Amino acid sequence: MEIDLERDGVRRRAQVLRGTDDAWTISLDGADHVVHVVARDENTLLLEVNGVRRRLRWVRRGRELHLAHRGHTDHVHWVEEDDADSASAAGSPVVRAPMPGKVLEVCVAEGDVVEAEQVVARIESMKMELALTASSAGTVSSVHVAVGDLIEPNAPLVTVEPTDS
Amino acid sequence: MNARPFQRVLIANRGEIAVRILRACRQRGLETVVVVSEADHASLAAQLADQVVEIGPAPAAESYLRVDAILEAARSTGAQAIHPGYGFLAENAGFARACADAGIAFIGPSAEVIDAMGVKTEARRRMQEAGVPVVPGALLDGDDSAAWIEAAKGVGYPLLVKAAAGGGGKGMRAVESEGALVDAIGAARREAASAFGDETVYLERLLVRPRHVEVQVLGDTHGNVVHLGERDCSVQRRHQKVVEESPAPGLEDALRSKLHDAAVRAARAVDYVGAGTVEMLLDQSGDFYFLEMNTRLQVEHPVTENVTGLDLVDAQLRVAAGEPLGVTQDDIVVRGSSIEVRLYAEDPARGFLPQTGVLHLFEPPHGPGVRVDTGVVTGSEVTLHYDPMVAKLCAWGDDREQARRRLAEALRETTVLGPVTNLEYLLAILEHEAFAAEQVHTGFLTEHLEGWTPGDDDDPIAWLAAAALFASDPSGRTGMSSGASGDDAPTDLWSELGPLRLVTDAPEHSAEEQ
Repeated sequence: MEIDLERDGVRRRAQVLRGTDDAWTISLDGADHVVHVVARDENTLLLEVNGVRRRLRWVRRGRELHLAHRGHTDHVHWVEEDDADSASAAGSPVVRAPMPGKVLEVCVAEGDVVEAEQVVARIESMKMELALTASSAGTVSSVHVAVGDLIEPNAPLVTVEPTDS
Repeated sequence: MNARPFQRVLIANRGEIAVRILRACRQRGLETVVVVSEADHASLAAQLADQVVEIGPAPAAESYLRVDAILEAARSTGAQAIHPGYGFLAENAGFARACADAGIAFIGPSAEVIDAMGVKTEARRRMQEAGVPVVPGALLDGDDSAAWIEAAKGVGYPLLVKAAAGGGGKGMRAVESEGALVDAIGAARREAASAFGDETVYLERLLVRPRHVEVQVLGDTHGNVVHLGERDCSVQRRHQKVVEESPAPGLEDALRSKLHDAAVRAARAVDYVGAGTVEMLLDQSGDFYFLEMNTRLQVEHPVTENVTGLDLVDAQLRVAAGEPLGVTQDDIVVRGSSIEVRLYAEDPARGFLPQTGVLHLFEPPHGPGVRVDTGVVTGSEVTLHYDPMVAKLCAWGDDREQARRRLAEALRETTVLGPVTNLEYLLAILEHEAFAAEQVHTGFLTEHLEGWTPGDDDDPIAWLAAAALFASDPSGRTGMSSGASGDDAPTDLWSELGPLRLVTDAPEHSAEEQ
């Protein structure tokens, strides 16, 4: 599969090929790299890249991976085909936080029927209150946050299954 | 001052220093009360304390600086002593006085001493009387330029012309030699008059690439005063200390003794009680001058504790309870070397802008000689309301080089994921050849690290590979774990990842894949 990766504002396309067991081949900028996943846990990824071991510490926020390795910290963002519509609007069943902030109010519960543009949650961000709305009419299939939660940009708040699906 | 023993101590501070003080109290069997702002109600200090009193909203002016609220908290909880930490009310004579009036022991020197040392001209006069050298200076009055030139001769060149009422660099001029003096004074006077409505200026010797060297002192109510050696805090950015170490590297023994003696004289001159620090500027010729006395515990006290083996907060508590120091100058021996760096949530590549946000992952370092003072844990939030310090990281070694290497390795093993920090910048300082060669002075960062930006990781492929693996593996069926799970891995990798479930987007992946 092909994935677009963004780091420091530079976008690169990587091809990922699953080999046997935990060996992967990643083609980047025309060169093939063999990556072996030695081990992982909820914050550690032990990789062998072209034969060199790397112990990376990670946390994931949506499609952003924060990584640390021996004093160096950075994040890598990946882009998927449906990125254009996932973040903000048209047709996405997931209502996301446009900015970091705090959940002030969750206006719906699972199973609620909502209309397009109906407010489903309010968040406070940079001292402003934002009302977030469903992009289409449907049924609330899940609520991902509770009042008081601190949220990251792009964090899912509420999923609305469109009526016509 | 207040020599009454106490059993319950209120800590009027937050962050790492509140935790530090709390531990020292516990170790002495004292009960602890922590006052918090709304923003800190679940802080590490609040979690550890015996009692917590919320005293107001997040802004310090409405909480940690409110004398009335803090005294009321002490009354309502029955605390008989207050430790102010550093910053906030630590050097507020009014607060010390209010504590005394309320019959509460203020863990620090008397209000009179705080007052005397807080007013620069008064501190300077007292130090001169005690035979402690002060930076040569002269107040200029009158318009007689011949008198100015004469005064400047007494101060010596290069010198600074400063507005007496000044601040923020307004009305300030550097003068290299006599030829430029009169014009500079004229310009500074005009600037001072328009900025402060007072054209009074004074001259002060300009020290070239001085070092900031300070001496830790400790006094008790029985008239004992000792010093605990010196610290070098020359690596500063805009007067903000970044790296501190003890002992100060590269000083001859004779000079070191002179510094210590001057500090003890300074402390004796004001009958100093408690922990204090006499800050001095040391110029390249080996002359040193009194800068100011900090009448409180310093941020960088751990390096002194590391090399002396003494616990300064414990000493403060004992002194405040009226006990004698229990150590003489001869008992105090400096062993090895210790270096501290201040890990901040700030972005060195963008003007050191403070960063905020949740610490998604914070893992402090460990190992021989490594000490971490922190008030945060994974999940804590760094807010804009307070100093964005994440931790103080310290290392001790047999010698400076070992301390330096230990601290550098400790930094490499430290993980902070969330807000950008100065971690890599601190590493760049520690690993700079001039730092390793003990060539520290107050212009160090400007000279060596101006315009610094983080380096590329040594292996960008690993980073991109990690992201590619996660991106291509939303379901977890691709066997990224080693051993155990294999094909039995849950269909949703993210659901097994504990705390991450809150913030990852497993449900939406299935939705998007439909």
